[in-house]
Amino acid sequence: MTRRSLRLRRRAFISASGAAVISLPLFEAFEPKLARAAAGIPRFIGFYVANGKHMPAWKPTTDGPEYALTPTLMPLTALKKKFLVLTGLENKGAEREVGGGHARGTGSFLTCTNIHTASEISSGSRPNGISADQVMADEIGKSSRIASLQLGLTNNGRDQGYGSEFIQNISFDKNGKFKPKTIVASSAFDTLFQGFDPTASAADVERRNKLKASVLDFAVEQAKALSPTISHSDNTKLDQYLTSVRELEQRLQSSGSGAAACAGATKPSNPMAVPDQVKAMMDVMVLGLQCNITRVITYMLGNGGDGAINGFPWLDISDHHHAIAHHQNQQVNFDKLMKVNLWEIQELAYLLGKLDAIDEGGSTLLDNTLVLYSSEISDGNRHNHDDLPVLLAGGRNLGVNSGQHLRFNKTPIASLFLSLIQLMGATSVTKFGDDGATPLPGVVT
Amino acid sequence: MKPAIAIFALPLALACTGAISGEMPGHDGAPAGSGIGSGSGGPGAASAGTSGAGGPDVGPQETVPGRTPMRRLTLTEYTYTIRDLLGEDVTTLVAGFPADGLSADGFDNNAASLEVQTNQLDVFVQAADTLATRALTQGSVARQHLAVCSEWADAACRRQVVQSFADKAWRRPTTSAEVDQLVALGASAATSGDDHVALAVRGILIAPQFLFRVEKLPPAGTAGSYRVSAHELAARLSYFLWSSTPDDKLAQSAAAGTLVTSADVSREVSRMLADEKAAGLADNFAAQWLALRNLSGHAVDAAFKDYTSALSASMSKETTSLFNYVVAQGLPATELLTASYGFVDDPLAKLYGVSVANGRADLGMTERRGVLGQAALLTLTSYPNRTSIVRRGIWVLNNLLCVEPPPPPPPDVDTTLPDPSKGTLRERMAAHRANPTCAGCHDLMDPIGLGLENFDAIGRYRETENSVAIDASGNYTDGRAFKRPSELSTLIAEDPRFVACVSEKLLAFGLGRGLTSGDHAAAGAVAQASGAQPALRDLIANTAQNPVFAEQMVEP
Repeated sequence: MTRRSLRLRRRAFISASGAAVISLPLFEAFEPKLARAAAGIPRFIGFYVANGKHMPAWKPTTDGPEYALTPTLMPLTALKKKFLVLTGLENKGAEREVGGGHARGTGSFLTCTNIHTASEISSGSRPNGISADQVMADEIGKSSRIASLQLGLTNNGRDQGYGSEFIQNISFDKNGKFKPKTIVASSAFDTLFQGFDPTASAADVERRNKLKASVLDFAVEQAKALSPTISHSDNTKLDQYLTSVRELEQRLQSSGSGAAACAGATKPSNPMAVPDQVKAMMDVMVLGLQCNITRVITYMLGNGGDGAINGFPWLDISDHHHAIAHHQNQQVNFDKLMKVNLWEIQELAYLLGKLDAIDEGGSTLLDNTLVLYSSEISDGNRHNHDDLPVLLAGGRNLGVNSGQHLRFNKTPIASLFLSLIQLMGATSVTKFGDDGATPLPGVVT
Repeated sequence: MKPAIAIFALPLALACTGAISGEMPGHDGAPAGSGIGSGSGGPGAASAGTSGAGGPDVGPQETVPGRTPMRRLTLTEYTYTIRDLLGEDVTTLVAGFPADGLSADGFDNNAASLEVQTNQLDVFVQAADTLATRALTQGSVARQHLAVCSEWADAACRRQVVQSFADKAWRRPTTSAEVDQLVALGASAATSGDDHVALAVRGILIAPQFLFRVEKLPPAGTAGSYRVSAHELAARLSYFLWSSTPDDKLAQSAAAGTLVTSADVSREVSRMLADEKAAGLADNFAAQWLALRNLSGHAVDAAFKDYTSALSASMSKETTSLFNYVVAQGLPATELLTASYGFVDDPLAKLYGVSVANGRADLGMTERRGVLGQAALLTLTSYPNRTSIVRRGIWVLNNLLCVEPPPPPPPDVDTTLPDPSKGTLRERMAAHRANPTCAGCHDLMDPIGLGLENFDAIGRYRETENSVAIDASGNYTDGRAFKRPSELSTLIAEDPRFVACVSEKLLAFGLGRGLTSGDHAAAGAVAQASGAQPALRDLIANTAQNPVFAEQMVEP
């Protein structure tokens, strides 16, 4: 490891934790181990933005490696070689001749499977299919302490005919049940770093872990005793509880390494302004990946439809995002949408920049991370689910053929997810969602 | 200012055609799922949970109970339960927990989605540790709640502490085997008596018996439906009326066999509604029923300088205060729509232009009557920069009448409204309301919204818009004419669908699940049993006393 990369990484780490007080000696002591452990490990971020894009300002008109960046993509200029623009991808899972276009788009955002309405679910239909991030978590999540993390900005919004789970969440387990997200950066930080106390001796840590293991054992014992006394369908819920207990037990067994390596990172404050909240959460995301505490994260920058950001005072826009997304072909709304879309990409650029500033032995964390960026719809007026605004950033070290605009025509986005699942190392997975039968051509070198 | 396009201010053409045109207005209670919104055969039916089902004239029908699934405590229920078990306020802590979902009818306590995913269990485990640690401090509130005896170094006392807490937390008497297991868990700490108790408390607070509301299988051979156990009924009652765990008296009634008859339930409901914890019903049932929680995420244009987060909180409080008052005073449910007074603080009184004495303002001389004259509803149904007659209309149909609103219009329909700096919204909406394909749906929603146009986007009273006089007159869905907001409120209060709707909402919240056809009939029976001008308190009590409230279905 060169001195230069060490300096780079430390600087990145300091900014990653905001006003953090870094315990440098301890940090340095663990650093080489961390770098060895993390280099080349594939990681994934599923990044959702609400209410589509103003597509004329988004979609490149030229193809291939020499394509010209569009106005909305300008904040990514410095990283142009490190992402793919994918146009013409379609999520058929979101399409159905019923209302609730935002719920359908968001619920199936990472599942590519038709979601079911509240009445259908109460009649016994599964709510949804499994999301791509959860396929990854099930396949490779166990190799880190936390199999997956669901994060976002807000918890509001609901679309007609559906429960709020489909507009507020994009991660769904193998039973199609939503995995709720954390929207407070300090809480997400606690999830990553709980129990790590730099002042604790090894014996203290062992004792604490032993106590927690006893508590979890007790929970298993109680669940097993409860099982025969409750109905079959209640047992499905209890099974989910037991799965959760077991996952926490696994976290306990693998606790220490990641958290210790990132010793000194301190809890972020919980800022009030939306752009600050977004950045605080991104800092936590980067920490989680950098320290290899988790490998799979989803993030929602607002929720679809009425759950989206209500007013952008930092952009001098007071309208609800949903209201301007229904642009009615009015230039005044196009102008506002372009400002909002540009800001969204600036936030993405912040995240990618941070990932790219972290050296992992010759490549960067960004090079080892697949960052999928898209929205639940394409155009806010039409609510169409074809020609989605998709970016795939990072992953060069994993084989992504980045730095191009690839144009498709109503090609299933499920194919892209299949590619990503395989790039994450789950090579035995050969289909995904309703229509992901083959990997997406051109994505992998 | 340029127009923000109304999301719902659109021609609701295709899907509505036929479903409502000339049909719906004047018809009470379309059968569930057949009303507006289900014209496309799709998600409209999804809210069968509360849609439709009829006024008080619902015919005799067998009340088949639906199955009430095991469910995790909601985050609010968890917060209140910890408050009552340990005297600890975990509101701030819980704000960082992964959030609960809302069912299609807007309630967070619907069992369908109340699971324990890993990252949720994780925060419950952390919270249990935090709470148990607090109990280690001598003199702490948590310790006082636990300490049925004080010598925790003594094994017999420890067992008593653990058993007493488990009985409360698990909402039923624990078995001696369970207490043995808890004592064994405590012993694995193998240090002080305090540590024993703390570890057992951690176990109690993450056990499925605590995190889930468990209802056990009936004796083998039971068929069809059956009545849940007394302790299970106690929990159903306490989470309905308090959003919290049963108190000692309720648990004692259950244990003593005095929570069996309708009179028993009636006695407990009266006692519970008189308890200050009944504020939980306003803060959870009413706030979700009336969508008040949307206010916390609501932003308004900077031009509305009066609007602050403090004012927004005052608005919510006004609405929940009225609900509490109507319950406490035994007033008719329709008082929620007709009250000519308001519980307002100084900033809100200023917004209303009224004087306030002892937290109460006389609104008799204003157009404000009940919730439709309250700033909370008027604000949360507006856009940041203007009112929306469509959103207000939909809010009334959906929440007060249990009529499923029409679906949004098809994409790509030009719904552009004219320049908002000229004339009134009624004038700007006139063109597309004149379009027959749009009118089918808009004739249902718009008159109600137009009737509230005297209130701006933060609920201030106004008589003009852009210097043009506002015309708030119209015809209610049954054709009766009104001239102004106060008259509209009266007409809605006289609509039998209102009381039927309150009953449906109460039952959906009380049971925490989507309603079956039998449940709809039960809600109708509740409305009927409660008399011509039923007191809100009676609707609540009759919901709790209705057989379906205590029934469970054997799983096929």
